[in-house]
Amino acid sequence: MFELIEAIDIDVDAGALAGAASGAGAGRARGRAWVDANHPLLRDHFPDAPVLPGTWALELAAQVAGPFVEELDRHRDQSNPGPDRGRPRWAVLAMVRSAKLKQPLWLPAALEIEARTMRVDAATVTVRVDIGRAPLSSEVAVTAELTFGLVEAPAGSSAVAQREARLARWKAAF
Amino acid sequence: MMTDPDLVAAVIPLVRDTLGLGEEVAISAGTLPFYDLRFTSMDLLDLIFRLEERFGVTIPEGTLYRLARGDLDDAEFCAQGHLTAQGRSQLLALLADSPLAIFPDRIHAATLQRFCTVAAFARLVAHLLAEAGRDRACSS
Repeated sequence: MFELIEAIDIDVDAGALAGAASGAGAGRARGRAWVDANHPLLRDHFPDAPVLPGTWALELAAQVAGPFVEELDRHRDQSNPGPDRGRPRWAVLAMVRSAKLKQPLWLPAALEIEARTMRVDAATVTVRVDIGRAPLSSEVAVTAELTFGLVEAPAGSSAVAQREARLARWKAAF
Repeated sequence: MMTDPDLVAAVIPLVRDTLGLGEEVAISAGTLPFYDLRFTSMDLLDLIFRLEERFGVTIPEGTLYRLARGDLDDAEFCAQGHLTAQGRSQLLALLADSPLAIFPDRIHAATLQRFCTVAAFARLVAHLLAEAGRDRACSS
C-alpha cells in the first residue's frame, strides 16, 4: 500500500527534542496521499459509495509517522555518547493508543496527513496524527495516537534499499 | 488534599481501563500489574498516559529510577545495567508493599516498573503532585 503516499516532509526541532521532558513538540511531519475511488480493494467498501477504511487511514498515518519517528531518533542519536551510537533504528508500529474516525472520507480523496510528537522515550515514540482532505486546516477526519517501538534496523537487504529509495522519492516530491 | 487511599481509588479505574478489564476482575492497592494482570511495556506506557491526563502531571522516562536512586549517585545505585546491593535495598524500601519474593538477586535497571503495585503508581503520582506543589482534588 505504499503507492498511496505521494510526498512527505519531515521537520525535527532539535532544541525541543533535547529540552522538553516529554518530547512533545519536537517536530512535525506532513504527508500527502491520493486514494482513488476505483481502487480494486475498495469495491466492497462500499459499492457505489467508496469510503476510506479506518484501517487504511491508520496505515497512511503510520507510513508518514514512521519515517518521522526514525528521523527524530537519528537526531537524538547525534548526541548519544553510548557504544550503540550510529546504529540506525527502525520505527515499528507497536500500539494504536486511540483512533477517532470523526467523519467519513469519501473517495476519491487528496489527503493531508500531519504527525506531531506527544512523547519521546528511549525506545518508544508516541505521535498524534491527523488526517483530512487537503488542506488539513479545513477539517480533520481522523485523529490517532500511535506509539512506535524503535528496533535495530536490518542492514544490507534489498528491502532496506527499496525503503530508502521510496523515502527519498517522497521527500523530493513534497 | 487527596489522601493516599483516594489516589489508589482513582488509579485503579485507570489500570482497569488500560487493559479493558471489567469490574469482575479484582484490582486492589496490592495488585501487581505486571505479575497479576500481565501488563506489557505498551500497557505501562498507556497507563502512564492515563495517569498524566487524569492528574495533570508529567511522568518522564526514568522517574521511577530517579525515585529509587534517591540521594545515591548513579555508580552507587547501578553498575553495568544492574542495581548494586545498595541500589537493590533502596528499591525494596521504595516498593515495600511488593512481595519480597518477586525481586530477583540481580535487578536490571530497566525493569523497575515490573515490581510496582497499583499503590506504588499512586505514590508516584502523589510524589509528582507534591513536587509540582499542587493540591488536586479527585474529580468525578
